[in-house]
This record gives sequence, structure tokens and C-alpha cells, in this order.
Amino acid sequence: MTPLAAWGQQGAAEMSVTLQAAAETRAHRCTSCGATVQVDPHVASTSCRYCDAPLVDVTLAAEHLDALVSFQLTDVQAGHKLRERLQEAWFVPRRVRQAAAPTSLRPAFVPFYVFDAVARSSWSARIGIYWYRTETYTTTDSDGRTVSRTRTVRETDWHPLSGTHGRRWHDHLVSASKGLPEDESNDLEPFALEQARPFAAELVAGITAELPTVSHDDAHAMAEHELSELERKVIAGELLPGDTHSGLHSSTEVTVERLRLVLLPVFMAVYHHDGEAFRLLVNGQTGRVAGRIPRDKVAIALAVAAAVGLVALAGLLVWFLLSHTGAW
Amino acid sequence: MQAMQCAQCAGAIGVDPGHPVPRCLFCGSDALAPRPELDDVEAPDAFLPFEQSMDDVRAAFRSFARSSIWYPSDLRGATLELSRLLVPAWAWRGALETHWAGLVRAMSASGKRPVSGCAHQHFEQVLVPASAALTQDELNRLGGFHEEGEQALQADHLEVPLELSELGRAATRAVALRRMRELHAERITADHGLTTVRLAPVEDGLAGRSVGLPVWIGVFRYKGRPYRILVHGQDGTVVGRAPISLLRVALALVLVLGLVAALVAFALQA
Repeated sequence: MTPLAAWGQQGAAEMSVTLQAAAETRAHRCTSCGATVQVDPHVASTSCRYCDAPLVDVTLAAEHLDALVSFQLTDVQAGHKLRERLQEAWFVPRRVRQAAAPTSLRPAFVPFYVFDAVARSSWSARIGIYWYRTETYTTTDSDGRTVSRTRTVRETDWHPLSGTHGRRWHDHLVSASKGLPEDESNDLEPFALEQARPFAAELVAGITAELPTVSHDDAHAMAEHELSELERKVIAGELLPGDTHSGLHSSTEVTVERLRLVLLPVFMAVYHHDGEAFRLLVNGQTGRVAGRIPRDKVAIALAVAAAVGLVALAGLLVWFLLSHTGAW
Repeated sequence: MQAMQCAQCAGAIGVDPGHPVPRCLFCGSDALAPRPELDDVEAPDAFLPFEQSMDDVRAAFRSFARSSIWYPSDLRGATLELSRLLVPAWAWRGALETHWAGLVRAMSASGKRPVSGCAHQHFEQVLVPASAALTQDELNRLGGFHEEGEQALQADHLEVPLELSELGRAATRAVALRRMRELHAERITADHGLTTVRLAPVEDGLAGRSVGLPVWIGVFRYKGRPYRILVHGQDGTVVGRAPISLLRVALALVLVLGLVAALVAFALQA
């Protein structure tokens, strides 16, 4: 039996109980209107579909979640950010631009794994150190005479080198939601995790809060992969000595020191264009917009045709002028 | 403890009502007024005892006044107003595992070759000032403090004024870590004869605590201008700024110009 807190309009917490367990959903009785509501097993907070009363599964949330970061933007502010982004982009279908209203945005708390880890890498590379020599060469001067001149030539002194690198990584985020792939969630970052607060039902009431659908093992593998890539970039950019390098190889071991599961605020909007669904996301803290923006293929084709036409027209004009001035 | 703040220099101290302070210890002004205490900054819970007497400190000041040929000779006789002050600082300890790579001189086409390595160092005491009285540079120049005889600091029974803390754990941790990295970089560079070095440090077991450091603060006036010195309350090291004798500077300039003129004349004759 799962206790379910229904946060009424007066903010009073009431409890209901699970009536039955279904294969895909949990059934809860809404204490506000008495209706039986089917709830996705990966959702900790939702609303009653009959009376819109907020429903929070406190036990389930407490079992999985460590903290959450609250929304800093209202849906109106997020809508403005989204509209700005769509205005900046080219060839966005008019229907999508018009549909980017705050009412089309759905706020949701998305679960993320937060890793504090130490990464240690072994690397090898060729290190290039510039040096300069003066060489003498012969050339022809303006009077047609052969003259001898000198110039400075840059050479590179290459040396093999291997070594180690280490770094403590704080607050590395990995999406814990299968619905929000890692590459999409990376575009939403950063989040100010110092504002995270311990999970409390009243902080998520009325907003969908998802529970993790990505396993610890998968998240750990993703964190290792991402930190290995970051380590490689840091080794290349911040550690290797000399003026240039080539052939960098690195291997990284990651030791996780702390792992938390935190809910982060995200606005989502889904648009349909040409029978395809596009999802745009807005960071509920910073207003950063992520996601694939749909493009109007007809408008792109027309633009390309217009560009080709202009080039052809310019060519014709040049040909006409040249042929009538006797240059040809 | 009563918190007081100077309206002139904004220096803030905590004093025992039984041991009032008539003037600001930092600038000598009498514009001291009570102010509310800041609750959000962690105050020291211990202090280190003074080992230098007022006579020791006066002798240290006289040595300091003789330490540079640019200081005026009458500086030694300047009237020095001395006060004891517990300066809040954070003492950090921890270890660094520093991965490094750099260049050394070599018999190669470029005259250099790359090297790399990993070094470990434990830091027992890296001090970071938590107030405005002492800058990080002044604290570095004062040197370390031994912790023998450390005593619990009782805010309701302060024999010595305590400067009020302005920086907490998080802010001083970052400074301490930066200082540890600098110190380790200096050591690695010296140990391996590096001409350039790049570092990737991993800190471990970093722990800090707030402590009151025993410092004598001295204010003296020279030709109407106030000067401030700080004296290490345990070993008498003096840190501060002193006036420069314009007469000595002018004499040195004349001497150098005379020497240059003589050399030029000699060269012309030769």
C-alpha cells in the first residue's frame, strides 16, 4: 500500500491509499474528489485528472530522491525565452512560432544523477616545441636582379611524452530519465545545484515529478564516458606542455565519491510539423533553450531556389554586359 | 562580547565590556561605535597565546626600523602605540596529489624537452585571514604559528580584543586551496628545474578551522602621517610599511649620478 499525499488548494495534506496494483500503473484514490486515478509507476507527483488536485507519492519520492532545485522562471518567462530562441532561428514554420506560447509549456521535475567523482587518467602524446632558424634564400628584386635575402623559419621539435592527470569533478549531471536523452539534457545545462534543497512534497505539488528510469549502472557508465571525454579535453588544453601536440591517447578511471538523485526544473513543449514531433526544452532556472527546432522545408527550398536564381541572373547580367561592350 | 566598528576605517572588533578599547586599533581614530554581530560568519572557537611581551615587540620594531637604509634614522625613536589583537584566520590542512607536466632545458634543437610526473605533499597549516586587518600577503610574510598552548575562546570573557570575522569556511577554503597549489607548484618547479609547468592537483582530506592568531598591532605617526605595523605574537616577526627618508634617497641619487658622470668623463678621456 502506497501512501499518497493530496495537496489541496488550502495546502492541507491528506492521505489516500493504493487500491490496486496494475502492471503498468498504480491506482490511487484522490482524496479531493474521491476518483480512482491511474498513475505511472515512474511518477512521484502529478495531478488528479478529474479535479486537478495535486497528488504526491511521498513514500516513493523519499525512497528515490535526495533533493530538488525549484523553478526560478514562471511559464510566461520561459515562454518569452522560447519565443526569443525561435525568433532568432531561420526557417522556423510559422505555426510553430505562433504556438510557442506560455500555455504550450509544461513544467516538469526531471530526475538527474549528480556525481562527485575523482578521475585519474594515463596519457601519452607527442609534444611539439617551436624553435626558429634563419635561412638564406635567393630571389629576384624589382629590377630583375638575383639577390640573396634571409628569413626566419619556424620549426617544431617533437618529443614523445607520457604522464598522468587527475581532477576532482563536482556536480556532474547525468539524466536519470529515459525520456530525456543525455545529449539533450547536456544542452540544458548548467543548473545551479547549490540552490538544491531536500525533497519535500509541497515543493513539487501540482507539477509532474518523474522518478528515475535510468539505472545506476547505466548512469555510472555514462558518467565514466563523459568524464573520460572531459579529461581528454582538459589534458589537451590545460596540462600538455610545449606549443603544440599530436597523437594524444588517454585512459581514465573514475572513482565515484558521492551520488545523489536530484529533481531539476524543466519546461517542455512538443510541436508537430510534417507529421513529426519536435520537443523543445527550457531550463527552469536559467531559461536556456535546448532541443531540435523544426524547419520549414518549403521555405528552405524556396530560399535555395531564390539564391540560385539570383546567381544565375547575376551571371546573365555579366555575360550581357561583356558581350555588348566588345570584351568578348 | 560587544561588537564595535570604526566609522573612519570600518575596522570591526569584539571586546569584553570589562576591557574597553578607547580607540580604533587599526587607525587610531576614536570614532568607535557599537554594531550588531554577524551571525552568518563562523567566529573562532580557539586562540593561540601571545609569547611576545610589549618590550619584545618594541625591540623588534627598533630592529625593523634599522632593517633598511631607506628608513629615516629617527624612526627608531617614533612613538609606537601597541595593542594586542586576536586576528581571525582559517587554518587549513590537507594533501595535494599534483599531476604535472612542463619543460626543462635540454640539448635539443629547441633547447628544451618536456617532462611530466606526479607529486604528493601534505600541508599541515595553510592560514587564510578571515578579516580585513591582515591581508594574505601580510599573513604569508608573518609566517606560521605553532599551536601549542591553544586555548578555547570564550566570547563572554575576552582579555584581548578579537577582530570580527568577515569570511567563512567556503570562501577561505578556495583561497587555501589556491595557496596550496602555489606552494606545491613552487616546490615541483624547484625540484625538477622546470622552466614552465602546468598542474592538475587533486586535493584530499581538506579540513579547516577558525582560530584567533596572536598579533601585536602598532600604529605610529611620522611627520603627521599614520603608519601601521603588525608583529607576530609568537616570534616577533614585523610586517608593515615604514616611511622612506627623502634625504637618503636624494643623497643616493646624487651619488649614482656622480659615479655615472665620472665614468663618462673617464671614458671620454680614454
